[in-house]
Amino acid sequence: MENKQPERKIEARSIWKTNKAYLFIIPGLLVFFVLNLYPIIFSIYLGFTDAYFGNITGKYQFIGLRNFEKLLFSGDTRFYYVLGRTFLFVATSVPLKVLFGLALAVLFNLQTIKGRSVLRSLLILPWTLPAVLSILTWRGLFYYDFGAINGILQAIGLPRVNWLNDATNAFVAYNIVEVWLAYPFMMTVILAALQSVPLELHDSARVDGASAWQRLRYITIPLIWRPLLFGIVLTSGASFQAFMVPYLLNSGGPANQNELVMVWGYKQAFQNPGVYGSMGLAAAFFVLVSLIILAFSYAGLKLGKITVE
Amino acid sequence: MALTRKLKITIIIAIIVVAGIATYFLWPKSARADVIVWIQVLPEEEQFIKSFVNSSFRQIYPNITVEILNRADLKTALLAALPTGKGPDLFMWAHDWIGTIAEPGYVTPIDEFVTEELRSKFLDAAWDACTYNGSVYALPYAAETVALLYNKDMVSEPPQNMSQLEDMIISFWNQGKYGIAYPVDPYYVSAWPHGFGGYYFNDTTKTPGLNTTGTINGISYFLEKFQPYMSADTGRDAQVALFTGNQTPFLVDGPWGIGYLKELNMNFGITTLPKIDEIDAWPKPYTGIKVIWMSSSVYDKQKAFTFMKWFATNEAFIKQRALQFGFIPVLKEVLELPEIQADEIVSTFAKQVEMGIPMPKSSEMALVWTPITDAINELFLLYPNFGDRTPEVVLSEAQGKALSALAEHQG
Repeated sequence: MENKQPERKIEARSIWKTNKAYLFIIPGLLVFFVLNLYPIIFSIYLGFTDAYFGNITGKYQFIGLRNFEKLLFSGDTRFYYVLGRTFLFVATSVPLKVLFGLALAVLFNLQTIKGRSVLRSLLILPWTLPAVLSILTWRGLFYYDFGAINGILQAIGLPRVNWLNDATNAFVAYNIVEVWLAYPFMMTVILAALQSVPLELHDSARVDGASAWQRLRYITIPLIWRPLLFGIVLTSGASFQAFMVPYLLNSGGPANQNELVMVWGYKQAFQNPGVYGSMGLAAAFFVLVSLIILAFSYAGLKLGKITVE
Repeated sequence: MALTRKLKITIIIAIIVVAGIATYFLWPKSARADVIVWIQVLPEEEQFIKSFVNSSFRQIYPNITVEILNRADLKTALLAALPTGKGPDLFMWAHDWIGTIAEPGYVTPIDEFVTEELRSKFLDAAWDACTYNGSVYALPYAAETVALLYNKDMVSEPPQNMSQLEDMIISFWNQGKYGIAYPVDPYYVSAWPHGFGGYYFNDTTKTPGLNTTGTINGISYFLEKFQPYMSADTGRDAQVALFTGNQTPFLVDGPWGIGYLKELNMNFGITTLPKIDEIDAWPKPYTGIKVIWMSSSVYDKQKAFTFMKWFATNEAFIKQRALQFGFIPVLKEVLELPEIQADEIVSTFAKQVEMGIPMPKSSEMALVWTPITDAINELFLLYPNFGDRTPEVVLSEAQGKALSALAEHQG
């Protein structure tokens, strides 16, 4: 009987503790509901309507699955083309970003490099610049007649490249800019992981006669694999959603041949405000695209066993 | 007593929060201006407009406060703001938006202020551009279209017809220059399909005409005459840079680019797009009327209209704007001024406007812009190796897209 009292006290205190925690996350939850959850639900709903600029104030109507049907089965293969182009971009830009980030991280983790911390900070610069500024500067560099890149090519006796008005070259340009924008992220993630790899492992491998490549392949990579995969999943998401790079470089051109999902959806919804049902169609499009990204991210995380059970 | 780390952090957070709240409540709130106007112009023109408003308008109407915001993202901003009723009181855009924004009621008619005297001040075509379904929605203040600009240091006499222009283009091309700078965009290109009797969209019958013989011939003609002698960068900024960098003697552009060329002190001349001598017809570019609209969320209709009227009818303002920035006035009394008639740029643009075709007003035109833009871009890239994607095929496909979008719109 005497024991009851303190037990209840502990219970009450722990309830207060948990409730207090709820109290503290209320502001965060509110922000999430108003700024994230509501727009998400509203966008999904818009996908089932004929909304456009002219009726978005509330006069739009529910039209069931018509938008989805139009995207997937209308015989207009644009949806598949844009999706295919985007997958291609993910498939090219992600390995480039990872390799570039990995190479730099390994390099700057070497004890023998002097002034590592200064160099590292400099390399993170692209991350700190506003992306719009970086991309517009790149566009200037890619100009056919005045761009610095063609200037350099000419100076060393090579022909000029039509960067922005040729579908393949523009696609290469997207990759270059995407790598420039994203390698600091990959580098930072990998560097952090590398620093947790115990030096003793390398030392003992070295004693056993392992080459630098063998140490990277059999010690470093397996040990940093999980954070690396996590970085890959995140950066794949970023590539999938690339908007500013294609839009600012040449609006997904030339002649829309490099339209990636975000650019197509944006143009659909906002380019020609008078187009009936355009916002509904764009919303439906983004619902499908989100499902695809979700599936891929989940598969990636599962594959790497990163999800917390 | 040394403060604990926790306490220090708490104090810092508390200071930030209190400072934030205090700033919000104590910061002197500037009262809302009577009239808020959104514009999209080059910086030098913005300065000009603001100083004129501050001196001239203030003097006549000291009791009306006006706030002018120059927005680089005007179109996007209006698309977001108009439906929510959070837009400006007044804003400027070309007249072709009228159907798109008047039908859903985002702009308000100004019929109650319109008098015969006001109406008679403007050119008929300009006034017509402001009316939709029998109501007046805006006041016109300028006209615009594209004409042929040439570098006087490279070309002494402008070409009289297309054969002459073609010869000049080829001769500069052979000297290692570009023949011409020409932004590849359906608005800029429209002169040629119209010259050949084609059209993008018929505003009366509300039908697209992308696969008509005239449109196909006009676009093919444009490609044949210009594409081989142009730079691969077809966007406007790159094309203008070629002209200002003396890489080409010719540029097709509108009044909106004149202020910049003047600022660079370029020695340039202007002429109308040359006659197509092969078929004895003139190219007819699309023309736009720049108008000032009143949004339906207007704060004080009377005051807003007062500013609108001043903006569109103040003689000194319109005249100065025309002379300085190449604006083509649509106010009759300004057009008759000797300084305006003697100005080469304004008078040539005015002549080109007379020869042009007004952009359609129907909201359905929006369904045609995307297919024709895509078609022209594709053909420009392919030329001259079309393969099976000939102009006939590509433009018929564009027509099909426009028709099905139209059917959906109506159905």
